[in-house]
Amino acid sequence: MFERIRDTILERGCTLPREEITPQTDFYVDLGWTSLDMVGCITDFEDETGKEIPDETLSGISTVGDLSRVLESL
Amino acid sequence: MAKEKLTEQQKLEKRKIHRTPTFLFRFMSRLSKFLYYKKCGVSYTYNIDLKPFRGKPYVVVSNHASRLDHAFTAPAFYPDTFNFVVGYNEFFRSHLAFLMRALQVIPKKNFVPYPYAVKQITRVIKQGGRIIIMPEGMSSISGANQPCAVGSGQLFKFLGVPVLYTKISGGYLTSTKYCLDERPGRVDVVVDQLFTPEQLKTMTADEIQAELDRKLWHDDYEWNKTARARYDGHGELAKNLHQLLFRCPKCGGMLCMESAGNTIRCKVCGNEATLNEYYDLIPKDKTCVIPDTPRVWFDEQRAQIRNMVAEDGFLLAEHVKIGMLPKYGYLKHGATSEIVGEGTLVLDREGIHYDGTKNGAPFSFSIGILQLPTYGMCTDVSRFYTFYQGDFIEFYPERESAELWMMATEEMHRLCGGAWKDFPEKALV
Repeated sequence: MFERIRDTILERGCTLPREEITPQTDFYVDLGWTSLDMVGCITDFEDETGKEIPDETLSGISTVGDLSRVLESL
Repeated sequence: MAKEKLTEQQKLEKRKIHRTPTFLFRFMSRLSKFLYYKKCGVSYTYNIDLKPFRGKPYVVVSNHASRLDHAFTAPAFYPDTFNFVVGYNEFFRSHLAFLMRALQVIPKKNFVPYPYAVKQITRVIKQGGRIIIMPEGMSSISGANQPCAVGSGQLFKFLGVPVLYTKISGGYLTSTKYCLDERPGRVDVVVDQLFTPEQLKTMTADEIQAELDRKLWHDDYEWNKTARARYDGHGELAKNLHQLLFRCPKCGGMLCMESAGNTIRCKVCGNEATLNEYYDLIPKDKTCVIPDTPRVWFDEQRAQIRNMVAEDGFLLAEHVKIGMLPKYGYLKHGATSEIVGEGTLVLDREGIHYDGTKNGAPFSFSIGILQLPTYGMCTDVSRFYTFYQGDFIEFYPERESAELWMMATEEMHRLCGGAWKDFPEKALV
């Protein structure tokens, strides 16, 4: 799942080299994402997997690792 | 095994927001109009015909003049109904909690990323609903706008539905940020369209953001130089004004102003002015140095603070109490948080740092300056808040210095390359 998230981040125009995106990478602090960037990313995953990410988990996602854990738990 | 009781925050974020209930919204809209229309001298001017928009999805934005804006915006579009987007912490105040939930109001953690709110806004629009949002994120501090929150342009481009707007004049003078007493006089509301879906498609998010700032710009004091509307301040037009205008323009002293009745004066040099019912600032005598309007005074203060934070080794430190939202139940008696600890708050080039206690145990945290464009102020200018790891934290400074903290933090954010910039110089002239 981590690799898939890395792909998505890079597809979304991230200028960091792939190897610098780690589970600790913070979407907002390190990548400068807005709330809308996060919702767009999550919507892509929902469309791809057909599973919905519960709204109440959104606030707990700030790093790549957080998102990976949420997606794996679906 | 017993199920763990959900906290108010968990319950709030578990909710899927749907379109506001039509009957209740229309009833509240009518009630607002009944309560405020005549009392506050509200008038509407329509620069567009609303019929083509009726019943379809669209967004309404407005300059955020005061906490009464809900009563000035929604009735302008009657019978259309809206989901408002409102500060997250307001959902924890007992007198608002039920209504906010019943009306399907969308909570938003101001000035921090909060994807939950974006998801709810998107859902309501997809359901064919409409949204009212104040992109400044907080009611006007100075009588004029602050720049729209980062990401506003991106959001409207993404939603792709028409964006209409109301421009509220006189709303701040009716209920200022430094004193929330209602001061009835006159409120003019202009209704117009800001963006068509076609424009949103062709413009970049940055262009949309810049246009939002330009179109929503308004200065109530400047407006009233020509409107000459009188406001009933009950002889207390300058009440708490010193919390906003904390620097003496004559002697340069900081946090040395005091105010009572219609008068604001410097405790150090005696520089003094009176506010009349038009909010004109009248110097006591020829020796007094008083800016043209409170907003001009406010901006001159900001220029001083900008210079201060740019100095090497700048540091602002103060003893504060901290307040948080209750885990269970709501805040009562108009409170905006529950005091849970005290300690020292420091602002430097790295950000803010709190070192003290929380619920009787040692507690410290830091927030990087790039993640802290500004603070929220729930009600008046006596305290300020932000979010740390998703939790609401309100600071109650020992001195009457909340506005000093706010300006210093905003200017430090900008100095260090933060994303939330001030208006481009002269762009709003």
